[in-house]
Amino acid sequence: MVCWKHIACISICGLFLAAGLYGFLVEPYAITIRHVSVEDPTLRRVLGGYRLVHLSDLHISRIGMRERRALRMIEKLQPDIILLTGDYVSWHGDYTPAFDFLSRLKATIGIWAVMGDYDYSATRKSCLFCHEQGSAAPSTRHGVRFLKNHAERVSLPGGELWIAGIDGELGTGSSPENVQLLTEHSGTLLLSHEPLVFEAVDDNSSVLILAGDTHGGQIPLPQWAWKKLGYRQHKYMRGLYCKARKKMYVTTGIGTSTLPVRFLRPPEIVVFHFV
Amino acid sequence: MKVRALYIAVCLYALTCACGSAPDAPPLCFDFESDADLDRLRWHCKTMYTRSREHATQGLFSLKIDFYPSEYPRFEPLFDEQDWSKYKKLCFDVYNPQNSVVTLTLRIDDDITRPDFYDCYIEQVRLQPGHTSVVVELKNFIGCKTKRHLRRNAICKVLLFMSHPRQQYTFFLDHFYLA
Repeated sequence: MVCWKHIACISICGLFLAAGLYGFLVEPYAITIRHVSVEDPTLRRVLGGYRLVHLSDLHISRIGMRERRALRMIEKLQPDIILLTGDYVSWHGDYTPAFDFLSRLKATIGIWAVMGDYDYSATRKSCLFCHEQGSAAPSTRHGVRFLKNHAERVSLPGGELWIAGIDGELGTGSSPENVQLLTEHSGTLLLSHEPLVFEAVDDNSSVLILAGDTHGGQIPLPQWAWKKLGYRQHKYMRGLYCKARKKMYVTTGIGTSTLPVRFLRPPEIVVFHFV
Repeated sequence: MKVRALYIAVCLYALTCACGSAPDAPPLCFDFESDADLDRLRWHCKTMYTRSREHATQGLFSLKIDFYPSEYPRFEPLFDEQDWSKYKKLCFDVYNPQNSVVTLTLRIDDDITRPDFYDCYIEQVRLQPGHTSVVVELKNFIGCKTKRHLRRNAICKVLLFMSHPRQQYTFFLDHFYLA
């Protein structure tokens, strides 16, 4: 006689086991390329025909399978501009693999970045993103330009592009006055590790904010479950947010933190299309 | 037999008390003798720290600080112990190699959530060329605008900074400690 209770129990356990194996062994390495269309006439005019790629939250502790795969995928995309929104290292981890990863990125126009809170976990090492060791000279380890609460103008045939960056060190940079200064030009691309900067930007600013930090939650859980685990649920978890003229895309990023798990929140490389 | 047991017990108790009453290490103490001290500082843009054998007043090394032209280049030590109520003074030695008087600002906060400069302790530290030993009485920690006494059991931030320097300044800092 078949015991349906046993079969149901074994099936449920099997499902949980399969989900666990998938979450730990498969999805964290299954990097996807997400194409995002953004309606913005200024950016369409300036960036039409260029390929803009957004990466975030790499949390690199070594150049492993995921990092090699990401580098191959980025190389195939042949980006003109790469924008990075922080958290390149693991908490208090070794910074060398992250510098190695950054040095392998190539883009025809340039690579700009901001730092995240993890990048400041070892405050002394954080200087090496921008400087040579023991010197104030600029870093020669990689070709990434780090923006620390300032903006850079890029002259392109279609017009001027402004790329601004809010620094990810806690308590710096995201004051309303500073954000307003950084977003005064129409069609600015504003890099910020923390998505909450969306609320500091004026609704009528024609700005596209690129952010990360959340990892999309890594696994989909209801708000009460996040609270039970001692985490806050992010207001802007993932995807495109629009309010009046300002827009923000929050990427799920590439790496993981706390637990090396992702479930229904795959790592992503974002390619923007302006229409 | 009982007397001997009592004697041993008293001796053990005295030994335990002697060990237990050993003074705790001060929460904030830098002599820059070890490279690890550099990891106990917050590194900011436009400020360069280097351990130096010049102008040391405690041990063999001092901290050479270069402030580059910027808004607020600053020295910021990191510390976990926020309760300073058992200490009376904050002391440090600075060597000013410039040929003129230079003013640094010492800022101490007991509440990181309050707006900048609203309620912190501020003191101007005038440095003549050469050595200066600075002693700050903790009982004088008074908020610069509200005139309230800072909570000495909740000190969370110490900064030594310059405001908008137009040229590079160098200092040698040593023996930074609470007494």
